Amino acid sequence: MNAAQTAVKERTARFAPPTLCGPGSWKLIHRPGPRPARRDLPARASATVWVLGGCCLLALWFLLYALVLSGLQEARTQTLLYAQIREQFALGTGPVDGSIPYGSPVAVMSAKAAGLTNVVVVEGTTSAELTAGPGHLANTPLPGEAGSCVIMGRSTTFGRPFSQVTSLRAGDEMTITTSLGTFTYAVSGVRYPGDRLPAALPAGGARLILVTSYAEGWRRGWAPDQTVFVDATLKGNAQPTGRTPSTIPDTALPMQGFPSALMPLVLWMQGLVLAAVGIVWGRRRWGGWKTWLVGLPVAVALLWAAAETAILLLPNLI
Amino acid sequence: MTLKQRPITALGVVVVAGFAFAAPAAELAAIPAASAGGFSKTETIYRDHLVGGGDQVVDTRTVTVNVGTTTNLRERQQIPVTWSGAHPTGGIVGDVNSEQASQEEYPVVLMECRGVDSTTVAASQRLSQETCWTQTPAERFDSSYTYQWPSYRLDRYASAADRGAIVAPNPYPAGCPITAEAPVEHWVPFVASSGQVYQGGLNGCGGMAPEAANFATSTVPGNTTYGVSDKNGNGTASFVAQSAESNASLGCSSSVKCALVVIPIMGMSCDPAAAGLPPADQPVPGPDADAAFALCSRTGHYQAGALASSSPNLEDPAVAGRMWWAASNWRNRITIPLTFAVASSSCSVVNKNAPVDIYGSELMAQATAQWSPYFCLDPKLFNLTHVQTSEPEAKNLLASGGIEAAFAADPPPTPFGRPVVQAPVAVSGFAISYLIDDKSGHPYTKLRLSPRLLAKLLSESYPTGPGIAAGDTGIAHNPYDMALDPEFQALNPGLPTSGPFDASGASMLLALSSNSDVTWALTSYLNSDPIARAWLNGQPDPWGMVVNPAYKGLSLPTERWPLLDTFVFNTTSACLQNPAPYLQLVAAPLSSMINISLDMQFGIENSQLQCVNEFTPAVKLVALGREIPGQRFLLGVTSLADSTRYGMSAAALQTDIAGTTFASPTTQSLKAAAGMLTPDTSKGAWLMPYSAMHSSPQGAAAYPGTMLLTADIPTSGLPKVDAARYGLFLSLASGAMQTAGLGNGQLPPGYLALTAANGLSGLAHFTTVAAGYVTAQTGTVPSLTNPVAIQTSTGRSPPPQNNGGPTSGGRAGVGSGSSTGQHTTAAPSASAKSTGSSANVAEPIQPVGMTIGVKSGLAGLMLPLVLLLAVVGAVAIPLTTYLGRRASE
Repeated sequence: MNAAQTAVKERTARFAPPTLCGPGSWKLIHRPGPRPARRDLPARASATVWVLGGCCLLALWFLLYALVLSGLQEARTQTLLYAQIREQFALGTGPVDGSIPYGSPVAVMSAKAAGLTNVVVVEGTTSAELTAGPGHLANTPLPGEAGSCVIMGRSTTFGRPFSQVTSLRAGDEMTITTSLGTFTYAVSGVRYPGDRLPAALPAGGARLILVTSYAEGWRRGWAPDQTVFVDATLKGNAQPTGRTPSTIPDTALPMQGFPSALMPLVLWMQGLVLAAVGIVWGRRRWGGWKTWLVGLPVAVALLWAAAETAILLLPNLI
Repeated sequence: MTLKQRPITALGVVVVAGFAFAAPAAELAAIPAASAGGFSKTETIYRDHLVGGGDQVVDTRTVTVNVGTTTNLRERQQIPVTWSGAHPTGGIVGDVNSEQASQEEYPVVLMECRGVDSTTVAASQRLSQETCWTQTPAERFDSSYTYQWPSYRLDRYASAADRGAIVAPNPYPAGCPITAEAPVEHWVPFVASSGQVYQGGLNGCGGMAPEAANFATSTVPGNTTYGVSDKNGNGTASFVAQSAESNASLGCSSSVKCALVVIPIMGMSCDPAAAGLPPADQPVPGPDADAAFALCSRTGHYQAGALASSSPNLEDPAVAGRMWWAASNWRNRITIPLTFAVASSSCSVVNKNAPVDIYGSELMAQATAQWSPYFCLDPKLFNLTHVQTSEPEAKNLLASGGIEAAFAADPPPTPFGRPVVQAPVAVSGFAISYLIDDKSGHPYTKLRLSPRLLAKLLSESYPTGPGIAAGDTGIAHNPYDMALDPEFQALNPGLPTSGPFDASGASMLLALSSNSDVTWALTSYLNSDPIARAWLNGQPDPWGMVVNPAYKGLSLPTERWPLLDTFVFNTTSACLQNPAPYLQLVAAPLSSMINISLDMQFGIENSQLQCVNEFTPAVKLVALGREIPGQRFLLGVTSLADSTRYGMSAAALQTDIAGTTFASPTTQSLKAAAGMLTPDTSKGAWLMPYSAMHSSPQGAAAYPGTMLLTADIPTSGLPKVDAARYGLFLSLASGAMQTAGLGNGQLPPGYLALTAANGLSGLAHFTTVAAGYVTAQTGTVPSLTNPVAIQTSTGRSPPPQNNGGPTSGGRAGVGSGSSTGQHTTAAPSASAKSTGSSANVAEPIQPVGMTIGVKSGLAGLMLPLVLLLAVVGAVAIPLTTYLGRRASE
């Protein structure tokens, strides 16, 4: 590269519009004042940096959403569900029998030793229902009824309601309130894969089985890959069992994803691409701050929706 | 033969060979049902509890089962089954083949099972619950979170192993964790013909056969039938036999023995004491045992004849159909051996000779399905393949020299352009098949149709509803559908006049969208009826109904029925936003008759009016699907042979102008029609005089749908080997293969044989003579009226009567179990079961088995991978920047 070419390149670089995120973005953010002019990157390296940067930001956003922001979302959903189920209890309109619509609240559970206080349990256990809180496996009896009731919950994302259920010890108490009344269960133990199954229930007995995910070692707390069960036995008499549906979708079984979320995810991603194009265009026409004022909320909303949809594809217990 | 490779791909049609269905000999059957392998058996069955050491008989029934055709069965053939004396059914659902039907109380369960029901055969050949087919895994699995003692654990006839808390595969299948938490569960695995074991389980989590499906994902109805008995204990059902062609896992074929198993559900015979069983399997005497016995001895939630409630699972499992596998029910079974004919699809396997192809008419499909195996199983003969295409297409290909032979019904509109003999090979035709339920929800069997009614259906003149009537002004004042049409009601009394029918189903005749000789014949019949013609020309019928103006004055006959109504229905439905003429969506014709037959057999309404994937880009219209049994109203144009083979009802068609005589397709009415065929020397073929049919006394008894089928083969230009083979085919087709029967090499029901007895020896003689002309390839054709033989010899001995398979069946192979069922514990099933029951039940330890977790690699790796991506990006960006700068310096 001879001197004349270099001079042209420098001039071009100096007069190129500043960019916020790309190479040279520090100029805009830090207002660095006069600095020695630097050479621009070759086109290929610049493209690589852009792609890497985009992927990196998306990945960081996904992590942020999965581990932090989804918890905010779950907390708000729980507040709404709690108000709804209180009203149901007060009016006596809560579900007690038959096919309950997926996603509607069915019970409120508390277990001090597991850090659960007035957590609303919804009907259904697919990835979608479990974003709202713990879910009741639809083909099992409701809590308080005779038989083995199964409640599944997430341990890592969406407020991680069941992250501490493995710290429950035999004898710890759990209370659960449904339209049929308040029931107290005594924990009989945590069961890991390979442990003996609990003894058969006596006639008229009732058991509560909590299911969530866990992992040991470096995965612990953020990348669970195995299921764990907590058994609890009802103290006092059980209510007679209502009718339950005999079939459930495969997606309601533990560690199953929700494949039909793929199509909406593709649509959200397309929306993101459109928003990105819009922002680039806007920065050329309006300049930086105005564009970001409009574009940032749109981008965040789209990123939020895309991350939420993406998590539905993942196993339901994480 | 090299010539033919090209047309096959170009046509894109069904290569026939094995699509054949055999059938209850309806009216048309040339052979009585009994000689085709009818079966009847009476058995006395009991429900008796073992209480306090003594028998307590609570129910006794004497059940008689009658079964139609059981021999020479073909793929998807319908077997009529009737019974009497069974317990009346309760909790009835509409679709007797569905998973919900297994929840009916006291049904008569019909299922197809592989094996021989006898203790004397090897265990691998023996029929058991594990070789019986069910479409859904739920029909062979039971678990309870609620009851420690579901009824089958008290089953006095079950083996000790089958009464355990958990009767499950060992090791327990991975992927089925939650149900392992249930206190009790019972698995009935399915053993495929390959020997592979499909464990089933909740939603089939332990593996299910590829042909099986969960209820939610199932589109094809299964053949397990939960038959309904009326209040007197009588019932009928039509069982669809599946061969290995559609169900390889079950694997029934000419070489693999199978049986129809009829299980009248009587309910569980209970034994609350469970003496002799391990302590863990004995209810504790007192309240525990009393509650268990109360559950087991229940007699049903529903009244006899009551419909199932919309809320699920109200039935008493002790008497439900899904307990068919429990020993109390299984021991009452009646086993009817089935024998399948050699399928023509096996031809490519057994005979490697280059095939001789005949293209053309689907009306010949049932015949060639029985003829092809006769040819290929004889090593001295050759492979005969019928490539099904529409007749006009086959005639065009023949005229252009693309193919060497075609099945057709009419001579081509313009002559072939080379010497082609049109040799009659069979008399058959089309049927207006229908599936219509009467006021009491039973199939109607006496449908009569006039040409004008057919014209109304085809011409899109029924608006289907007020929405269309308001917009499509030309037909605004017509009845919404045919069920509401006074003309139809006058002809067919006893049908609901303001029924529950789907209006679109009752507004159309499912017809062919492609060019076809069948459409030509049907429209010739309509066109020759002065009343129908006048109506099509615009004259209203006596009740004021007029033709859709789009069809007014339509020129007939035609090879292809046009769709002309252009009214676009404006609704908010996302699917109807793309403008498509609504009544064309209702008509939704199909391109081949085999698809029409399929829809008619299973009651599938093809009107493209169901909107799926709404609010997504994949939004589209699809067929409406199966109509609800009891509310069905469907009509379709099928081949007569399909209609007979499938056991469909065929409408009687009006044969005179006054509307006083009707002819349904029977041997007599086909014979009368075939007798009217007149030779047309200019076209070199026999033609049906449609106008004479309406006016002559002879025509009053003639079935208007009758068609003469010919094999069109050139008499010049064929290679010598092919010419000889086609000649041989014609001489066999005109002689030996005109024997009526269900065996290979015979003519199935639905065809009228070209024999002297049917008054058709002249046609047969012409074909025999034509065989010589084809073989000799002299470039001449025989005279229609006075055929003179050419000097060749192509004679061959006639096919044996029952070439297709073993002639036994019927009564000979039956007699499994005892003659009067009572109290002889079903030894065969008990011993047969022992292979499948798992060992872990035998142990009396209370908590059986281990907790099984579900490991998910995705769950364990997703977030780490995402983090890795972020870290890689964070490291690689400065690195790339640095390297990029260095490179550019």
